[in-house]
This record gives sequence, structure tokens and C-alpha cells, in this order.
Amino acid sequence: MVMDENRQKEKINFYGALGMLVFSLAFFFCSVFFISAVKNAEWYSEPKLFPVIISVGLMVCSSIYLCQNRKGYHLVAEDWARVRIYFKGIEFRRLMIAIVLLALYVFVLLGLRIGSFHLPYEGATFTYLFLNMIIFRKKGFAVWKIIAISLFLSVVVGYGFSSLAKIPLP
Amino acid sequence: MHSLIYLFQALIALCTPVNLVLLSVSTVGGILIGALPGLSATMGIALLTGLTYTMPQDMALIVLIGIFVGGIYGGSISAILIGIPGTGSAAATTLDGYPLAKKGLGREALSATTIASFIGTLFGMLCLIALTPVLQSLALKFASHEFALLAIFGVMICGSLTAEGGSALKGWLAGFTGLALSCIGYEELYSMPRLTFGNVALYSGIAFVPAMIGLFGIPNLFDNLSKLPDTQTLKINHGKNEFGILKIIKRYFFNIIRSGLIGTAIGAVPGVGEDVAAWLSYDTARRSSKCPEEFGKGSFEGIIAAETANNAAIGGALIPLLSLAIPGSATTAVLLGALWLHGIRPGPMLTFEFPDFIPYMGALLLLASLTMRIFGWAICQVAPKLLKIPFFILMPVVGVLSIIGSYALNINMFDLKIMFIFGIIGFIFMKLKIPAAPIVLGLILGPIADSNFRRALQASGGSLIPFVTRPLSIVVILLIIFTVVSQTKLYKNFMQSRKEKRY
Repeated sequence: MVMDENRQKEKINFYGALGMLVFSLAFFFCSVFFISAVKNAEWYSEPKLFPVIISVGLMVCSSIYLCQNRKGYHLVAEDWARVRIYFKGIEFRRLMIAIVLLALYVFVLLGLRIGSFHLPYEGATFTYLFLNMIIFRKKGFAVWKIIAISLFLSVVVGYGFSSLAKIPLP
Repeated sequence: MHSLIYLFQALIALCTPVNLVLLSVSTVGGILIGALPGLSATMGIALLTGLTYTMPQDMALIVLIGIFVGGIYGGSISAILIGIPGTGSAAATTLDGYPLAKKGLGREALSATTIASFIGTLFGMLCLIALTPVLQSLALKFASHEFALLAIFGVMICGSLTAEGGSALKGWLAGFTGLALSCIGYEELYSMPRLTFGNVALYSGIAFVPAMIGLFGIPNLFDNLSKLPDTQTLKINHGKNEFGILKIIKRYFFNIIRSGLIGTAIGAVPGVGEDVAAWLSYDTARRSSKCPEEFGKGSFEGIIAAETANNAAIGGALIPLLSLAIPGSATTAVLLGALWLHGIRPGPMLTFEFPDFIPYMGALLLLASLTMRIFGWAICQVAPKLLKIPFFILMPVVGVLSIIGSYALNINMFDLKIMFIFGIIGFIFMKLKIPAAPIVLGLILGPIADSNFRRALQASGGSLIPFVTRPLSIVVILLIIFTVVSQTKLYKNFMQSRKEKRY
């Protein structure tokens, strides 16, 4: 059991380190080729100096980490089955819903304009709170309570921050 | 002796009903501002500078110091209860505070941080009065070489910030990632945009507050909502809270003194601030602890070290501010503007023109810390009840507050996108068991390391020799070497075998 857990850890670490190595290579490439040089500046004061040093540091760390977990590269059928079970599981579905709802709130609902209609902050917040609470609620938790809580919280947060504390809201 | 007399005179002058009410209101206001993710003491002072404009000078100072002390402490409340540091300086507190709340020890953790913050502020205050001349001369000796090395030292401590005693490499990887991300935007020497790919919103770089909220708050939100309601385990310990001030002092005496010293010293170094003080103190506590394995899983030592240091840094940061007019942290930079607005000109002449001003600030800190202790105690009794709220109600509210916090500082919709992206990165890192805290540290230290490193090279014509010949640089280099070596397996095994031999 412990052996199996250790192997799982090694696999996760290996692929995590691989991702970091790819990131460091991309960062190195961008630092070298996409940062413009300053006219008459010496090499040691160039804007790209620090990013290049950092990308090398990242590369060294991720390479060592990759080597430390090299045994984890091999994926067997059992691993794929485990991944499939996770993606089909209820936890993953709930996670995706939570991410999508937050994305909806940040990218769509806040500041939404359709023609002359402008969705106020309270409306966007109410929608976000209501959808979250209705989807993730405990069995048997009354819908009217969720509506009341969402409405109360969105009005209190909106009024409290914008009118009382004078803190600008999105 | 003169300072003590001035201090008592200032205390007597400040203890009027109007002043005390004003101090209480501003300290509680500061606690609330600090507790709300994204709203920091810096922002509180900035917001109130305008509002205090019409007030008499002494009253304005009371309000500003109350907000400062309350704000730095308040960050620990949300760090412990919902796992989102209210301020950057409370990020280190999250590592152990939130696990403690998960174990049902939220009230105890809050008590401990209230006492630690109280003692830390007092410690900083005493140092402000007693050590100003000494620290003033030491802080002035810090040049670009030392600043760059200090930033590198900060990243090297990331190795010991890994969760569950994991590999130091994970911490360094995350620290370097933070440094890499800090390179985005205008660099400080030539104001050249770097890695922005033409995106104007990225010119000012990745804002630290939305990134921090994204890394700490959003992964918790995703993680808690993805679990079924019946499996959620936050609970409250209904037993007697065993943490009294005397017990804390007795049990963690050396930790408190060490953290107070670290906090004051780091606070006194211009431009470094409370955040770094908390991290450094947390790391030192972990290294010298008898139970380092508890760090990251819910260690009282860890939260006491972080909170004592970040509050002690208040007094420390006021030393260069008042004596040299150089702010020790972002918050004191805003405070400097507020002091100017009220006709106070900090600098070398301040102590000659107004010899009682530093003791007056000391008295203000003392009263503000007492107020914070009293109201903090009251908050400790009430705030943990938050944890009784079902997660499917609490977590969406955390999401809403995170968004307000990310938006309010710069009033920029782009910051919400930064928060969201960092939330996803934070969640992936959480699943890979790579700590998020070093990314935050990297984001803070990146610009300091970059500009000072290149400035130091410019000063020496590209030579690295001054880094190893300046006395203070040598001290910092030795610290870096020790930090790196002490995180290697070889050193850990050596220490383990020594321990086994001893017992």
C-alpha cells in the first residue's frame, strides 16, 4: 500500500517536474528572444539579464527534480484507469462546475452589458451566489432559503462596500 | 532616560476619552480592513489619508497608527479562518493557521496570533525608542549588493516552506516561478517592458494582491466545493481556550524574542517590509523547532513566529521612516505621504527639532497594540463561529470577497483575470503538492533582486567581486550558503544522526 502511494507520488512529481522544465525552457526562449536590448547598455545592465538567470535557475531545479523522480515516467494501464476514474468521478464534475461558475462571474456577469441594459454588481453577485448554493447545497436545504441568503448577501456586500466603505466594486 | 520621560508624557497626553475612542474605532477599522482579503493596511492608510485631512495633526496620527497596527494584525483572521491571507504579511500565517482551524483549533490559533501580534508591536515599539540610532546606522550601510543578496536569501528560504516536509527543490522551484513571473512588465532601470507581448494591461506587471488571493483563496474554494457536503470537516473546539498571554510567553519565549528581533531588523531595512519579516521569522522558527515536522500541518510556533515578526516590523519600519524619511515598507511609504500631508517632515532633523516625536509615536503604538489586544480578544470569541456556516454558503461568499479584494486596490478588471489564472495555477500546484507561498515571496522579491543586482553590477563595472568583499554582503552570503546546505538531505541526515546519538 505504502509502495503504491510512493509510486503514485513519484509519477505526480515526475510529470510536475516535466511541466516545470517545459515552462523554464519556454521562459528562457522568451527571455532571450522577446526582450528588447537597450542601446549602449552593457551586458550586465540589460533588462534580459535577470530573466535569463532566473530561467536557468528554474531549468536546473526542474532538471534535478526530474532526475530525482525519473522512475515515475512509466505509465501503466492501471494509471490510465485511475485517471479515467478521476475524470468521470463526482469530485471532478463538482470541481469543473466551481471553475466554470467563477469564470462566468469574472468574465461574463461582472460588468455585463446587453444593449442599454447594464447588469448591476448586486445582480451579478446574486446570480453567482445562487447558482453556487443551489448546485452545491446539502440535500434537503430549502430553495427559498438559498434565494433569501443570496439576495441578502449580495445587497449587503454591494451596499456595505460601495456606499458605506466607499470601496469601488467591479 | 529622556526618551522614557517623553514616552510617559505622551501616554498621559494621549489618554483622553476622545483620543481613546478615536484610537479604538480606527484600530477596529484597521482589523476589519486587514481581515478582508485584498484590503491591506496600506490601502486603509491611503483611503484614510484624505479623510483625516481636516483633522488636527495629533488626531490624524492616532487614526493612521490605529489603522496600521489593526490592519497588520487583521490579516491573520482570514488567514486562519478561511485560508486566505487578508494582507501579504499574513501569508506565512496561513500555512499553519488554516490547518489549525481545520483541526478545530481556530479560536486557539486566533488567540495565539492576537497575543503574538500584541507582543510583536510592543517589541517593535521598544526597539523604535531604544535602538533607533543603532539600527539607523546599520540600515544605512545596506547598498544594492546587500539588497540583491537579501532578496536571493529570501528565495532560498523557500526550500523550507514546502508542505508536509517535502523536498526543498519544490520550494525553490516555486520561488523561481514567482521570480520569473515578477519579470513581467516594466523593469525599473530603463522602464523597458518585458514579456508583455504587446498586452498593455501587463505593462505594470502582475499585481501582487490578486495573485496572492488567487494562489491562496481560490484553490481552497475549488477544493472545498469539489468535495461532497458530508465530507467537509471544519469544526470548532468547544473546550476552554488554554491560551493566555502568560502561557504563550512562557511556552514560546525564545521564539517570540527571536521573531521580534527579526521583525524589527527586517522592518528597519528600507524597502523590505512586514511580508519578508514574517516569512524569514517563520523559516527560522521552523529550523530551530523541536518539532519541524508539524510546520505546515498546524504549528502554533509557526503562527506565533510569523505574527510576532510582522507586527514587530511596524516599529522597525518606522525607524528609517522617521529618522531618514526612507520608508521601511509599502505601508510606511503611504504613511510618509500622510505625514507630509499633515505637516510632519520625517528625516534626520526630526529628532533635533522635535525630540519627543519618536517617543510620541512609541506611545501611540503602545496604546494601539493595547486596543488591538482588547478588540482582538473579542473578535477571537465571535469570529470562529464563521466556521459553523455550511461550506456551500461560506465558499461562494469567499469567492465574492476575493473578487472585491482583487479589484479594489487598482480598480482594474484585468486584476480579476490575474486572480482567476493564479487560482487555477494555485490549484494545480496544490494537487502537485508544490507550495504556493514561495511564488508570492518570489513576486515580492523579484523586482528588489532584479534592480539591485543590475545596479550593483553597474556600480562595479560588471564585477562580482564587491559581492564577496563587502562585510555585510559576506554575512548575507554565509546566511545563503547555510540556508541552502541546511535544506539538503545530507545535512538533515547528519543532524538526525547527531540527535539520535544524543538521546
